[in-house]
Order: sequence, then structure tokens, then C-alpha cells
Amino acid sequence: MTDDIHSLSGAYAVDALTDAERAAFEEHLEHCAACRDEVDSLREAAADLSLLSAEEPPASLRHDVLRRVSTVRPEPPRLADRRARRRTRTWLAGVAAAAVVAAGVGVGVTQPWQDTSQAPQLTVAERIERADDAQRISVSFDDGSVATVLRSESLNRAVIETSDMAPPPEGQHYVVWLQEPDGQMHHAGAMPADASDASMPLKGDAAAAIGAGITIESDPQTPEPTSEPVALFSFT
Amino acid sequence: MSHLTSVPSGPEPEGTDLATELLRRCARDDDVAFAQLYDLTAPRVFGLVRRVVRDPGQAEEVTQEVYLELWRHASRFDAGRSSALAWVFTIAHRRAVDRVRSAEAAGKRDVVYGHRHREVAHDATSEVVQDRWEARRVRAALETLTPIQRKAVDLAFFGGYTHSEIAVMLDIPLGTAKTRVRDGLIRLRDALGAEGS
Repeated sequence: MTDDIHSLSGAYAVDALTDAERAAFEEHLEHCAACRDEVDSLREAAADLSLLSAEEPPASLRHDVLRRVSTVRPEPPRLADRRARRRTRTWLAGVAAAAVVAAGVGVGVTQPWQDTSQAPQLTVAERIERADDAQRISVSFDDGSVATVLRSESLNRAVIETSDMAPPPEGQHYVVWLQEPDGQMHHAGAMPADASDASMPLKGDAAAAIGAGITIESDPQTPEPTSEPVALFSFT
Repeated sequence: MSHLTSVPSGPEPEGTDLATELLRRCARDDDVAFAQLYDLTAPRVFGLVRRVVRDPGQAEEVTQEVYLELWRHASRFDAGRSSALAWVFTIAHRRAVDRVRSAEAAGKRDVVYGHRHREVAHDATSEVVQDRWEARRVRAALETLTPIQRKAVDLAFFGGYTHSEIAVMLDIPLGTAKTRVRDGLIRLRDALGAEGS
């Protein structure tokens, strides 16, 4: 990463980074206590700005919120880990059983996955493809759509790319997970609403991960998978 | 971070500690506490979301998502890292920004020229009465920023733009917008902290 990654703290604190920048900065945060403290303190300051935009919400909103909340229980703090661990084993078994996974190491095939205009720098996907240890794992679905995970251990980065992906059910989201060696599922990002031809860098430790998966979730920020995966990618 | 959560003299800041207590009770499945938390924070959450997403209908949807997340994840709030209110508004801001970005990605809208930005509110904002004094304090703190810092912070926080987009909008070099945002927030933080001590 660049030397001045610290300077992203302010933009990070107010969500002014792109998804790729955010992922990179979050990696940095994991081992930079100074930046963590700075982000926390800037968020406190930014929170005060919301005093300037305060506005009485419609009275009906209170009713709607309380009604929705009455159908959901707060998540317990610790149980989550245990559940994720259990789910993991199912996933691993799934990887072994599923014949859909085709791994090709170092196959630097260029694909027109993205039609975004030229970025000033290489995208994460392009950097991975140029890496010596680039790995490309594709899963094809019955409807002809394809999801591909590009990963480079040396760069410690992974990206998911989709082609002709069907949209998730109404109100649902595709969420991508990195599976850690101890079996834990790490939330690696929610796909954008229009995920048909998307490219999204995965958050987390891509080098250590042993696999990736996609689930369909109603809460895009869910801390753990709540459904069986629709696609699995084995890195090993 | 204690120097930031501490609040300067003047009217007692509507429940910094109250919000912490309410969040803790939410984590224990206390829906009465949740309703109180809603009443305490809804004008600021809804107002912030609406400022970012603009559309009132969408603002209501996002506000619902925010409160659902607060309820479900109340146990994750870490009082050692942030104040309860900052945690609430951080979640609200993130949700609002996610909404405008995904809407833009779907509509392939030109972010830079697509809509007009606003000034950080001065007098036109419909403030909730008990927050007026506090709002005045924040405005005073904003005055310590340079105009370009103020604008960059405004576009990032209320506009929901990325620092690269802000660089284009303000016609400044690509790498400098993030610095303006950071320096501006640092000044704001220091002004808010210094004033009360």
C-alpha cells in the first residue's frame, strides 16, 4: 500500500472512500492503533455535524420502526462465533462434494468482465492478474451466469467478478464470505444491488483464507451467513 | 476519545450517558429502551439520512434499516471505543451513503454533475428545539475550518461523495481532497473539544 495510507483516516471516518479504498484501509487499521484512534475521534466529531441536519421524522415512521423491531431479536454477542464455526464444516463438505469448482492457478486469461472506463491506476483485479501466483476460480450456474474469484496470496488480495449474474430475490443481497483457516466466516462484502456484471474487492485476509462463498442475505451487513451458500470457491 | 465525548458547558447534552444505557438495555432485548432510544435520536438520524439520500421516501426506508441494525447489533457497541451517539450516527451515515452509491451504480448516474450540492446548513435547517444550542456550538466550530476544508467536509459528510469525486467537484488535485477532509475534521474535533474545557 502507499506510504500515505494514514491520510485516508478522515475520508474513511465519513465514508468518503470507494469500496476498494475502504477495504485497503480496513486492512491497514487492523495493525495501526494510531489510525484506529484517529478514526474513532473523527467520527465523534462528525457525529456532532448531524445536529445541523436534524429534522423531525414523520410520526408514522416511529410506528413502522417499532413494529419491525418487534419481529426481530437482538443478536447475542458470543453465540455468533459458534454458529459460524458450525456452518463452516457444512461449507467445507460442500466444497468437496460440489463438482462445480474449477481451479486454475496462474491462468492469466483476460476477460471483459468490466466495462468501466479506464481507471487512472490498475484495478485490484488487474494487479492480481499480473501477480505470479494469481489464482482464478470460477463457478458456473445453471442459467449460464458465472462468478469468479481472483486471488493472489502474495498481494493478499482477492476480488469477485460476476458475469450475467441473476439479481438476488427482491429485498435480498448477495454477500461474499472469506473462510479463514480456523473455519470462521469473515464478511468480505455485499455485492452491489446490480451485481449482474460486477467486480468487487473482498475485505479481509485473502492470503490466509482457504475458500470463499456467496450467500443470499436479507441483511447485507449480517455478521455471519444465515443461509446455505449458492456458490463455493476453494483456494486449496 | 474521552475528550470528545465530554461535552462543554451549557445545556446538558441530551443523554450521552442515557444513550449508552439505552443501548445496553437494547442488547438485553428491552424494547422499551429501544423506543426511548428512537425518541432520543430519531430527528438526528432521520435528518442526517434525509440530507444524504434526499428523497423522503428513501430516507424513511434507510432510517428503518438503521434502527433495525441498531437493535440487532446493540451488543456490539463498545463504550470503550466510542460514545453511543457517535456509534448510532456512524451506522446511520454508512447506511445512507451505501444507499446513494448503490442507487447511482444502478442508474449509472454521473455523480459529479448529477446533482447539486448544498452548503452546510446555516439558518434554513429545521432544528429540533433542544438541539439548537448544540447546533450553534457546532457551527461555531465549523467556522474554524478554512473554506475549502469546510466544503470538503460538507461534500463528504452531507453529500456522501468520495474524496476523488470531491477533488473533481472542488477542482483540486486528486490527492488533496482526502487531506482537506481529514484536516477539516481534525480542526472540527479540536474546536469542539477545546471549547468546553
